[in-house]
Amino acid sequence: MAYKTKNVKEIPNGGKISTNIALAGNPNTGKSTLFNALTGLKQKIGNWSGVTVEKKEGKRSFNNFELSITDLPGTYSLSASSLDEQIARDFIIYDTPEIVVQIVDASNLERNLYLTMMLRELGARVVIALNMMDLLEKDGSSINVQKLSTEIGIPIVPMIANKKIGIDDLENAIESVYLEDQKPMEIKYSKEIEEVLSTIQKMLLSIPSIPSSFNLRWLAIQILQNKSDITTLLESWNVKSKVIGELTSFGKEDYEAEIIDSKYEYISKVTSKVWKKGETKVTRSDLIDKVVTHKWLGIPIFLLVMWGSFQFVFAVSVPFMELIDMLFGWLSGLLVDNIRIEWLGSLLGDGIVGGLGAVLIFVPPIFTMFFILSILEDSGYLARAAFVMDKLMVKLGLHGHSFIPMLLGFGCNVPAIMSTRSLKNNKDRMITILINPFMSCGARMPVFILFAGLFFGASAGTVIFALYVLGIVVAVLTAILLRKTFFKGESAPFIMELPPYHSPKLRSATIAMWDKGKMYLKKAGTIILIGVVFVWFLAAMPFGGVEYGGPDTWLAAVGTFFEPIFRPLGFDWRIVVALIVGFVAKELVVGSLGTIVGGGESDEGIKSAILADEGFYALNSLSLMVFTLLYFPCAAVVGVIKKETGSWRWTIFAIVYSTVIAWLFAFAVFQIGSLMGSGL
Amino acid sequence: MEKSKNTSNNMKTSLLAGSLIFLVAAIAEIILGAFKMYADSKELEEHWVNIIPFPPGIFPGLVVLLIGLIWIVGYFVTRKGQNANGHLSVGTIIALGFIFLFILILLIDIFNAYALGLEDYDGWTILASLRWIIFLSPIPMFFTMKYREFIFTRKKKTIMLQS
Ligand SMILES: Nc1nc2c(ncn2[C@@H]2O[C@H](COP(=O)(O)OP(=O)(O)OP(=O)(O)O)[C@@H](O)[C@H]2O)c(=O)[nH]1
Ligand SMILES: [Mg+2]
Repeated sequence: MAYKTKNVKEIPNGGKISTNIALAGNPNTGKSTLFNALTGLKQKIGNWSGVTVEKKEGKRSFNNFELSITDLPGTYSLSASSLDEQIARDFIIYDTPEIVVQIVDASNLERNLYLTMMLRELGARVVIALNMMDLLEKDGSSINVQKLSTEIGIPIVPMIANKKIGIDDLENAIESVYLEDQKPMEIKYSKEIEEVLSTIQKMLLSIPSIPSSFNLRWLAIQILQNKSDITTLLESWNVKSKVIGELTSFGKEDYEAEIIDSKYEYISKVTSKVWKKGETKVTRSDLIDKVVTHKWLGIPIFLLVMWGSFQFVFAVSVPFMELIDMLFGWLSGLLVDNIRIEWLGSLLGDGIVGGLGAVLIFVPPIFTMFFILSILEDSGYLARAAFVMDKLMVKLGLHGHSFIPMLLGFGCNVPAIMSTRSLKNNKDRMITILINPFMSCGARMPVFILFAGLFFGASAGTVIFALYVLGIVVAVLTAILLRKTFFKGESAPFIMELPPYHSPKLRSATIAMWDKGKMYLKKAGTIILIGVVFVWFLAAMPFGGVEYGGPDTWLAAVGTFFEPIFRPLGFDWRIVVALIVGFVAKELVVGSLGTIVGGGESDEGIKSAILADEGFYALNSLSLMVFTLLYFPCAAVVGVIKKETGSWRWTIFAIVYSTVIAWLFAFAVFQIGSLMGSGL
Repeated sequence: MEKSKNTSNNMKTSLLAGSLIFLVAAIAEIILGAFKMYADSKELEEHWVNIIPFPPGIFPGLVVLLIGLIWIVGYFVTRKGQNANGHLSVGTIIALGFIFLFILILLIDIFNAYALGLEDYDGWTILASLRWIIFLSPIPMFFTMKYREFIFTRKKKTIMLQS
């Protein structure tokens, strides 16, 4: 529960030492990169702040050590101002890892050392991993590592985590800190503060329920700074509220300011001794940012990058999709024609191969999409795109900091919604969560690719682009609506730190593509498989005599029941059924259509089956795409909305609102299209 | 000193000339693209926009337009005596990205048309895809060659850390 003041250990003869360390540090300094290098795990890495929002544990053995390593979210200090910072702070303060490895961004020494001060004042034993030495070098600056280490009394290991340089030295440093003592650092404050501190410390000492090993000076400093959660901590020790009141009455804003100032003063004194800045030249990053975050050019460039990305995704995946479609069409026909037991042939051919095939066709575009996303993320461009969009949001009277989660939604809305934990203001966070499902995730892409490809030919890439943009527009409009109604009030100020550009690595993009793509394959083997078998079953029932997928089946009964609601959107009962099944996972929209439409006839993939079917044409496929884009987020997203908002009310709101919006937009598309008689 | 002044004068001229050509081309493409949309909606295969070699298209035209705009903003930045390397680089990198994309599409089109024999490719010719590349390439290629060191940073050797 607390950091001990003295902690010298010896290695037991021949025995293993198992101990736990935490990786802490400011956001985007390379904690997760180091964590992956140490543990061999694959925590998500990205070139912006707030990638990691949950702690994650891994293991590493070296020499006699068995380390359990915890990767933490980034934090600037130990006074948490957002959920993810709170997770990091709580772990360091209450779980008291044996050693805290602080990852410090070498090109941002001064700001990073502030956290070091907090950690040392708390009494944590710290090793500094001085990361991103390559960027420091590029910048022309230098740090006298030896001297810095002596000044602050902490071992420092220079590293380049993404190239795995410095790992051995880090192990040695961890070992030596484990074996030696590291006293808590005491920064001397003004005489007045020191006097009050010792008074508080005396009071604390007389409270028996406070664990004797707890660092009382630290506690006193927190009380002096009016830290609100200290009250909670004291309460947890059953300290009487009267005593708590007495203690907290010492707190003053002036003290807090002074305590912070003293730390910064100390830091700047130290850094001035060890840090040599390279000659200030305008960096390439700055020059590029001047263009891509330009007030007029920024958003057009972002849209252009998106448009180009979809062209790329579409172009690259078409030939692969053709091949897969032919393969599954052929396989399905083979099964239906050659298996004697008719229902089994139908189950395998129509149900499983038809439905699953319809989903697996979309492996190429989804993989390509993930590939591009991870290149954009890693290069640092994604953070710029988010920045220009956030600036627009702020201009519209909304909050900033919401576009990284939104752009992540292009991959999957679940991690995207979790990433909102780095938002400081709760109302901002609620809005960002609720609008996220409008960002079109990878699972909706099959519907777009299928129908845009079939009915919009050469403009398919542009149609898909337009759908994504529509998603963004609806999200922003919804944000405005929510801000004006349920979530009135101030939002957190918008300051965003732009990460440095990296040249994206083909290898890491490929790995990221595979990791995320694998999820899609896994889903195909589980939920989607079950889903299509279920759909097949209903499409074949009741047994005997009914035509598979025909109007007399149970499936048709369900579909036709709801059909009237959807007729104004141009959907027949089969589309209705597919959309309902899509509640579970949006891939199932295409999967079910594959099972229903693609089934029955031999030698046909889903594409030719749909093209031959009179129930599908350009206009209703457009309204279907719009509806799929906007309606009910999938089951997993509903789950995460509930978890992150902690409210059923808002979860239900998200479901109902999005479905109503989807209906209205699809209705408008279909009706206006019909009126124009556009020949679609 | 003298040399760097020359380079910046050079760049000023390059940016101006490059952007003007791109802006004019962009407007032509967009107008032609609009005509083509009209022609397509009336299913006029023999329409003149489909015959002239200059590639029509609204969206690709917008790409060219944006690159032209980036460069012209860069030109005005150099006129204020400031550094426009970023403008030159970003415009050129976007252009190179799209050239790469169009080449890729061309290769895939060839594959789709000849290896897979897809029906959509009945009236398609290599030239239809190729002309994009022909019209988009010269200026960015020229910029890349001339200003290579601005656009692509020179790689430094990996540094060794003292232990
Ligand atoms: N140039 C350089 N880049 C690095 C180094 N270490 C990590 N990176 C990059 O820095 C970025 C951030 O890395 P992460 O590991 O996600 O950072 P983090 O500290 O976990 O970030 P949060 O979880 O957001 O707090 C990624 O793009 C890494 O590839 C390094 O030593 N040099
Ligand atoms: Mg991380």
